[in-house]
Amino acid sequence: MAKNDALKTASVLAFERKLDPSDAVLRAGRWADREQHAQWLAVPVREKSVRGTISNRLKTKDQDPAKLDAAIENPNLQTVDVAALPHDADTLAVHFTLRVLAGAGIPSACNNADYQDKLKQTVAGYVSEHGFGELAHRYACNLANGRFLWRNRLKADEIEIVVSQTKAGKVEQQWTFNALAHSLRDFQGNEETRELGQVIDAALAGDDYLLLDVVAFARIGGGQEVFPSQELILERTRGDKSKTLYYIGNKDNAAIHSQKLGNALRTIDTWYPAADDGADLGPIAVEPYGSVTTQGAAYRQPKEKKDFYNLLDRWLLKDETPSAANQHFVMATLIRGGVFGDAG
Amino acid sequence: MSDAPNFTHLLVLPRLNVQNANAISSPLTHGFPSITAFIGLMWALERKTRAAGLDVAFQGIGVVCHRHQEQTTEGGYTKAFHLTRNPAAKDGSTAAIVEEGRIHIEVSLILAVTSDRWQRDAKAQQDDTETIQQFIAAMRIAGGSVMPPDSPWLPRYQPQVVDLTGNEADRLDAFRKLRLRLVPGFTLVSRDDLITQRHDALAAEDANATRLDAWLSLSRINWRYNDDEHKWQHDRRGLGWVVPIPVGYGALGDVHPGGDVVNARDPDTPFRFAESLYSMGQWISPHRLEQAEQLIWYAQTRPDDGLYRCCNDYRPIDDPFEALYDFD
Amino acid sequence: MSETTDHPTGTAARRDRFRQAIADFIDARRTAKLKGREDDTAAAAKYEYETWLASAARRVGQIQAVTHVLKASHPDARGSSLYIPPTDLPTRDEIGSHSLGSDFTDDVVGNAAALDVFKFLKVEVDGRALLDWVKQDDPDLKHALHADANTADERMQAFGNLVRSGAPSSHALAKQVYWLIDGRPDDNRNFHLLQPLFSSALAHRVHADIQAARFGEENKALRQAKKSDKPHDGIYRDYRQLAVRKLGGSNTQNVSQLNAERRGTNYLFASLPPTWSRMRAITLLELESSTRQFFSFEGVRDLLRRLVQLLQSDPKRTMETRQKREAIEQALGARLPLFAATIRDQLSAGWTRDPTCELPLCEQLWLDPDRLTLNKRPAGEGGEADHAFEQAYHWGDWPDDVAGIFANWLNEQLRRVGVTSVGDMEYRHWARQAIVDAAWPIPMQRRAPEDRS
Repeated sequence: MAKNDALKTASVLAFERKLDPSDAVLRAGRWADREQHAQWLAVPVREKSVRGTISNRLKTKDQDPAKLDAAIENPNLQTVDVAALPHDADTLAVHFTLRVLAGAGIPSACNNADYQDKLKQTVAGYVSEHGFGELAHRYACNLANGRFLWRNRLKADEIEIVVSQTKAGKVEQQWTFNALAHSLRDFQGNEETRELGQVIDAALAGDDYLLLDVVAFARIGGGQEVFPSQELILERTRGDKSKTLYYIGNKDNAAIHSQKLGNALRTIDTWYPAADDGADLGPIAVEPYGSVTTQGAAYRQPKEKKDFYNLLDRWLLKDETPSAANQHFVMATLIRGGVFGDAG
Repeated sequence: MSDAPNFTHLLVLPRLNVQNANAISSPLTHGFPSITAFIGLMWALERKTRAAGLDVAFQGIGVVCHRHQEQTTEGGYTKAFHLTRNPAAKDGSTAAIVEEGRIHIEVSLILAVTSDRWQRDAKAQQDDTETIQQFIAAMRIAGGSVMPPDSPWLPRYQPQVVDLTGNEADRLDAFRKLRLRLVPGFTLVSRDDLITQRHDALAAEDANATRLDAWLSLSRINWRYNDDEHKWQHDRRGLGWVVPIPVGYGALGDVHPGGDVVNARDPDTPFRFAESLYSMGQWISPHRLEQAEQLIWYAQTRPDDGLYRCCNDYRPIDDPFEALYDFD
Repeated sequence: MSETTDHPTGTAARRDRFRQAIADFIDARRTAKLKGREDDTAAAAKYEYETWLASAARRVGQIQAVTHVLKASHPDARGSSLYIPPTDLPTRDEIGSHSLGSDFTDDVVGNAAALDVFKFLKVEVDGRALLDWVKQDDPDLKHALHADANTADERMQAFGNLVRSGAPSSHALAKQVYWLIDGRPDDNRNFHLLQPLFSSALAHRVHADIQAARFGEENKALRQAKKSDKPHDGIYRDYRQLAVRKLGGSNTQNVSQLNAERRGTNYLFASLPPTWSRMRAITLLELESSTRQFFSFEGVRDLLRRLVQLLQSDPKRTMETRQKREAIEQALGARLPLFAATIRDQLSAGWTRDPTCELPLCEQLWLDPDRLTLNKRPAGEGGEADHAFEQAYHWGDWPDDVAGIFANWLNEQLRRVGVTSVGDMEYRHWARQAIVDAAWPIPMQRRAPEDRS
């Protein structure tokens, strides 16, 4: 179409995130008492002093043996936050709610009407061809497999996840998953994940929001360390704690940040180009450049034209429809939300 | 001068648990979202209710804060914000961190409503209330997400409508009952009067003192040594919990017609550069308020004067029994 | 300005003053830049009068004087920053940049390598900055810039461009807010789109005040005196709960020159609400009444002390005395619902089911009404008690009983200090009113939880 030649990306283009988890609170109890988890005691954050050893590379001037002895005798005392289950509780409960908001693919700000029309058509095309079913099922799998437990998933010998669809405080539907039976590397799922996926699909495409109540029970053993979120503090002053854990309200309630949960839930991108060394990393979080912060790497680099911006621009401006896999990725990025305008 | 709105009802949306709201309310203030964010929420909500065919107009909004937890470091002379790690840049390197302050708040919102239908039709009022509650649950409040309570069936979480169509005595009575349901908590009211008062006091000592000096003076504690009582004394006694707040925006130049400014959010709406304007506010327990007007904030807009601000008609009352805040 | 009349234009002396000031500035730069390599003739050549001015006139386009800085909102935002002198803004009661009056500092954005040109234009001659003379198209300055009138004109224009507006532009990363001007919010035409910009001029003034309070010698001495409780003249300025936001990360200069001078520190005053009641972890278990807890509730002890003082002063039985007494008793009555609300807020619904709860039923109903929203326990496991609880609540005379308990408690407190003449009836009335008013209406159809205990 001739009109399309002139179409340009809106300079202001923004999307709200459509998967909106709350923070998760950590509670401790017994595996057998899972039904009463609402009455379980919260996991507190405690401070502890640790004696660091001198292990950093010493500057030449500090390599004088006498000085080294003095340094070692002057131990590197640090305070850190820790959290652990009490000895009489073998199970960690991680509880949060997930809101799934309607209107996936509809921008919250867009300053170009032609572009917005094209976007609307494109999203409608995707919905009629694929629907949000594939994405929704992958989100469902990430609830079922307990990926959002992060490190807390590693040491558990049993993990049960209960997902309830609630309305005005009433449970309308409920699914129970054995998380360890679900792989973190694929999204095969089962009957239940497909059911849950359909509910999420309906919410993303519909115009009413969905509320899911999620509780994960991880049996990791009494007294074991658990892992709330760690705070990112840039300007630490001397004597400050070297590790600060997140809590809600007061230090009796250790918690996991909502953004950490969101990152796990959108870890569904298996469609990125293979890494140079051929290593298979499994799913990565949906990010415009496929970046994985922990690895300091980006798996959708602009030079390969498989990043979000290249894919979206070509799809909308040049009518070069991406592969089904990359269409999923683009839509998942819109669901993730962000400011994507091209203001140069 | 006052644009104080008239309204027929108060709609109370009690105890909303808002996670990760903006804690940086302006270039000079932190600790609670700007009142402009709540006025903006009110407008956004009315767009939804109008679209849904409801006969309600919102005239103003009050906010009661029941709990708050700002995501900052504890201790130290200044606080720093707990940040979130942003996704890495395209080359995988750590992206520049733009510091955003976050705060969890539990607030009750009190919307001042005019509705003819609500006066005639109790069923419509009840249905509309439920609809509004649903809308709010899916909206962002000051950038934060509304999280459902653990026990949503508890009475304290049920929305409530207070009818103010009766005579003066009925209205006062209805409000007196409401205010006791808004505790424990604190509501933000305007204390514009304090700046003039402090400015007068400063000008008595130094003729060059400005209103900015007065605002700065009110934003801190000022200690003087009292030679008669032989001790240091601060200037907060009897002042209440007063805080500096942003109250809106002042224009920096003229209105640009829609489409004239490149990269504006939309090409149709007239555009204007502006800056934050500040005043003083006070956090006060709702039980100390006598009438609804004292807790409602409303927009006062004078485009010709370049003024876009929020107003509140609280006027200080002398309460000899109010607990004093002391400092050391 | 009076300076102009003190220094008549068009004189040779005045032209020389301009030339001299410019030459001094350039010399100072040369000395600073060439320190240690004074024999580097190539480098020195850049600081010839004419060469440096030509370069400055070229480089001034890389920087812009501003008062309002876009990149403070986001370091990657690109678009207009503005130069709006506070004196050009209308006077308002609210606080803003206009409150600075003429007492403000210019900020600069752009290429840091051209900042020397900004410093150059701040050089003062006859009491005003060169930039001001540029704006006035001063003939003597023009003459000092170049002998050729055309070249001099071009330079005047170039330097004048330090303050420029250009076509206004915004950016996706700039904050833009919709503001309803008038009428209904569902009509898009009723809005203005506002882009709030960071006033670096105002932030600079606030920053200076806080820095002086934190690190200035005067305030330090005052702080020390206050700490050791020693007399000292002056006012100790004590800023509390400040937060610091860092602007620009490791590249503060990218935001603006003044931001770099502030080391990216953006001080924020606290608007935080107070925290309700410092009494945490109230326990009411194993207590026969909540009155003792009420006594230690915020403000109660103080009110009681005032009441005792009033009555012990043996006042005349006048209207005034009665009003005073009533006011205190009312205030005491008003504390009751606050007390109850605080307890309901801190304890979870159904806390009175604990076997160690020994409160009379009326106080339980008052302090734990949300228990009605819970499913009743089975018969034999507390179900009977739950049933009785509900019946008693709806029977509805418990507020009278609670009021009675508090009236008796008040009397006892007063008798203990030798006062007997309390207005028992009135107090009971107020207390009851306060308790009834505050009772949250229990919805007719309770939404009983199905999967929760």
